[in-house]
Amino acid sequence: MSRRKLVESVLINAFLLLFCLIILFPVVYSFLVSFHEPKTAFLSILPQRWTLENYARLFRYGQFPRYILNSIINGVGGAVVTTIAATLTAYALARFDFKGKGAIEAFILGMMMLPGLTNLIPILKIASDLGLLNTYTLMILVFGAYGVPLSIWIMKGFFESIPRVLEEAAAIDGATPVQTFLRVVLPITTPGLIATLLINFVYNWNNFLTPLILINKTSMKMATVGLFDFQHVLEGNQDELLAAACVVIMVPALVLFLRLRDYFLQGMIEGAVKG
Amino acid sequence: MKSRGGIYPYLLTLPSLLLIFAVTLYPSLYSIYMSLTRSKHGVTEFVGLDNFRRILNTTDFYQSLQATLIFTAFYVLFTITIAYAIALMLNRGLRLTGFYMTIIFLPWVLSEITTGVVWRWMFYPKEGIIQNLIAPLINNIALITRPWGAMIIVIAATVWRSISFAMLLLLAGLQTIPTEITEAAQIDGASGFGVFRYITWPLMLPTVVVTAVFILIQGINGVGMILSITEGGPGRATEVLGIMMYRQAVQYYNFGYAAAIAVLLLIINAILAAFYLRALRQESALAA
Amino acid sequence: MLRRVFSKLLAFAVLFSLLLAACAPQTVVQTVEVPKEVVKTVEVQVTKEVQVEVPAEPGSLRMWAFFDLTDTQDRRPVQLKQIIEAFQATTGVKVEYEQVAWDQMATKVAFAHQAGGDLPDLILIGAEYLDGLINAGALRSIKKEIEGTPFYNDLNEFEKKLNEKTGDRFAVSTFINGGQWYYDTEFYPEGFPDTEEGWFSACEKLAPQGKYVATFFAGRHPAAMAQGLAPLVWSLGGTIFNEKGEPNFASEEMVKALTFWRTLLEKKCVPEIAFTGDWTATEGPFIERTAGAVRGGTWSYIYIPGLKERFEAGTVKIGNPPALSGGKQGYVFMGSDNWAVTAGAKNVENAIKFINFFFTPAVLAPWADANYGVPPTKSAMDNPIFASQFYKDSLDNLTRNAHPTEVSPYYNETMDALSAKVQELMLNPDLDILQEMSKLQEQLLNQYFK
Repeated sequence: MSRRKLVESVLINAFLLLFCLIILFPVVYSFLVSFHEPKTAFLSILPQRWTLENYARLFRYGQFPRYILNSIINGVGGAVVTTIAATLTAYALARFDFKGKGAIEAFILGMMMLPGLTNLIPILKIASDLGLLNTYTLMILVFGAYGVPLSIWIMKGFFESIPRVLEEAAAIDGATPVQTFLRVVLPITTPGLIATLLINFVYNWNNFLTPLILINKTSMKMATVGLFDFQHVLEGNQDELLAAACVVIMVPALVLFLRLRDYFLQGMIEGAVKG
Repeated sequence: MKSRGGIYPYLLTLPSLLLIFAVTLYPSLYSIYMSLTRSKHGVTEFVGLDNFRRILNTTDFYQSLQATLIFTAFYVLFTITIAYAIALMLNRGLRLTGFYMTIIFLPWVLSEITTGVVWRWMFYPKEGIIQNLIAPLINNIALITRPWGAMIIVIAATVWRSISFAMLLLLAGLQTIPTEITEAAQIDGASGFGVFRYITWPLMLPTVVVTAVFILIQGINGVGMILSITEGGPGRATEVLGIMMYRQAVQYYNFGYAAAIAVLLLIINAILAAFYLRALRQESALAA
Repeated sequence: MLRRVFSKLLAFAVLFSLLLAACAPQTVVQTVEVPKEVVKTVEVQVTKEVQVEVPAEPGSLRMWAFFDLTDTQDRRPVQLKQIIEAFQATTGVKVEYEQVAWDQMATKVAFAHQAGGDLPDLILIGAEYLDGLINAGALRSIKKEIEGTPFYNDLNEFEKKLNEKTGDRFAVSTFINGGQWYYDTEFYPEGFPDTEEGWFSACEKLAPQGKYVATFFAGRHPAAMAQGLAPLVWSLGGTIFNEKGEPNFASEEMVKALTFWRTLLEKKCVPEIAFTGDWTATEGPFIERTAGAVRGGTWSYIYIPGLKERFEAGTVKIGNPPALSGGKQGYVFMGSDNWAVTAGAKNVENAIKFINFFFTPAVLAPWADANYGVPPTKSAMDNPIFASQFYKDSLDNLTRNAHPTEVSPYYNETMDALSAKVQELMLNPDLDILQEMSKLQEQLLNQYFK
């Protein structure tokens, strides 16, 4: 390696490390705040005395564990619904050349761009007519639908990267289209399915406004709304407790992302770049 | 040659279309209807375009539009510039690329409500850790209390959260440029800047446009970050159209009015979407 | 490898779907469990005062309030839980309780009402949110029902001032609170100045030491205008709205009020954070003792750290609100937490039954005390709890200075727009107050009222 290249590489790495520090800081900071004793959050960056009391209080107050369970159920359920629906559609769009395909693609893309807030009233209305208010079914269906457009794009990218020869070979061997899809196509697109599930789970897990408006029952609330309640139900300034709640909400997404990073990245590339 | 597939493709697209219809399309059409109504004392009446007339006759709307434009312009500019610079660096195949990607992507998997809270803390007047760091440089003014300062903070926070996504799109685009071309140019004596200016940039332009429009649409529709950091203040300095709609619906319960703002946002989005689709088509035409 | 991860995820998904199916039926009705010992104690207290008939089919009552009933640290949720349990035990009515954050209550009721259904029967809601909900048609008039109750004649003047402003009645207050100026006796050994001139002469002494006359929240929030700006305008005989509820704040009184605020800021008599910070941030200077007074409310007794201790030690007292130069007297606003019945309530009878149960002095007095508010009935006020110095001073302050909030169909919209404009005017001293206020008033009239 030439001397110039070495210097360049050192400079670039130094810059990127600094950049990563800046990116990381707010996340680390919220962890630090959560270990401070009450009313000491802003006296020093590092806690003068480290404490887990905020976490203990978080789980003592109210039904926070229940909220987390709800977030998991709605998040996973929504992601599963999205993945199933989007996979089928993406397969159709990637493999068949049917009439109206262009229109359907444009329609789905257009649906990604609607501002969602005012939609909540009609959704509330439909849900109440169907007797679905405050049920997991409602949240799973709503989350399931939210994720569909992006997920179709992700899965379409994956399907298009599979050589068609495999399916043709299966067809020659006498497999029905359904068998081909289940036994040949799906196993190859496993990374795509994982990516879709993960991305949608994280989106659903983080959603705040939808559960805020659609859920009226304490036992059915999601963790993000619970966090908001903490901010408003508790007396005075309790930033440390709030930080603990923030951390608890951040951790699952962080762990999933750190362990399964490549699926996330590949999924996003397929969805947004090739779509 | 793709097969037509008979009835199969229609059956396969049906579940998605049903979901989208029930949760997105029908409610959107309904909210367009709502934008033509007004509700008072529990009685809803049809008022035609009156809500639009009222909105377009206020200075608030134009202030919000202006805030939206300033916010999105700087947000897109900084996101794309920084993301592009990072993508160029990562494209050199550094040994630590995986590590960098992980860190840069962290903000994206975290919710706006939790990260917004943290950004607010960092800029608390007197106590905020970043506020205290920069206070001597800006005459001891609390940044978040000034209209321009609050705008800077919400732009910084939103850029912070979106860089990863833009970077990924741009990196993927960079990787489609065959290294032979740039290497050949370098052998021919082109400078690093020359390669960028005459080879990388023209090839990347469509990707940059697609990324920019995508980021722009997210910026216009996303209110979570601003809501949890400044709630639109001080004054109306950071009250973008999304926040204005939020206030009308969630704070004043003027649902018709809020729906009318949503329709205006929809129109802005539709125009952007048209650009997006065109850019996308150009990009795929170039790639082919 | 891939397949393993995927099958794991899928297994998870299936597991959760099963869990979901298992949970679904349980979550439809959640009632408050009744531990027997607790019921007994409360029952003994309350059943003496009210005889509630137990009908053949008592039915249920859906209630929304902002307390977490599992919280044992705070007296309010503990009491509410006991009241609900005692009510269930005496009447047989099943109470379905849901917690909704206090500043989300009105939003959720309005959304549910607009979507046409699934409203609770009874809500506990702050007075500042009532007008918006009444105008959205989300509340039910309970004038007839409340006037027919045994406690109606027992209601005090404060309660009637608050809830009978328009002649109709949509709510009943569970306690009355209001604005209150707390001052530090070390800053003001001879009492808190209650005039514009008094403030400025105090400022001349304090500002050079880097200290403030007072701190108060005047930032971007409708309530900041209702609690801070409106009382100054009232002190000169002005108003924010006319009799029809239309904004008429572009007035001489408004110019004087805002000039007062601007001068305070310019001379550093109040911290800048008062106009730019949020609620809790503005209390900081008083807690740190760099500001000699704070405008809070009766509730601040619980919410401002150290206030209760300082009051009990006698170093903090309750003062009179400031009046502008030429004004007769200063004012504070009046507020409350109220029971209200929703327009879609399915169990109106049970809601009224609960209100009746709630309005026995044995229930009401400790409740008001837990909220550091004044009880809404004369008989509850006789409770010895309210003989303490804090209540004597609070009651004195409310009696002399309380002013009911004004009424307008677009109250929230106007106050919020006003707060944004005031922030702009404070940060930019070159803007002309009257001109800006006239423009805003004109815009609001066109936007909502015409």
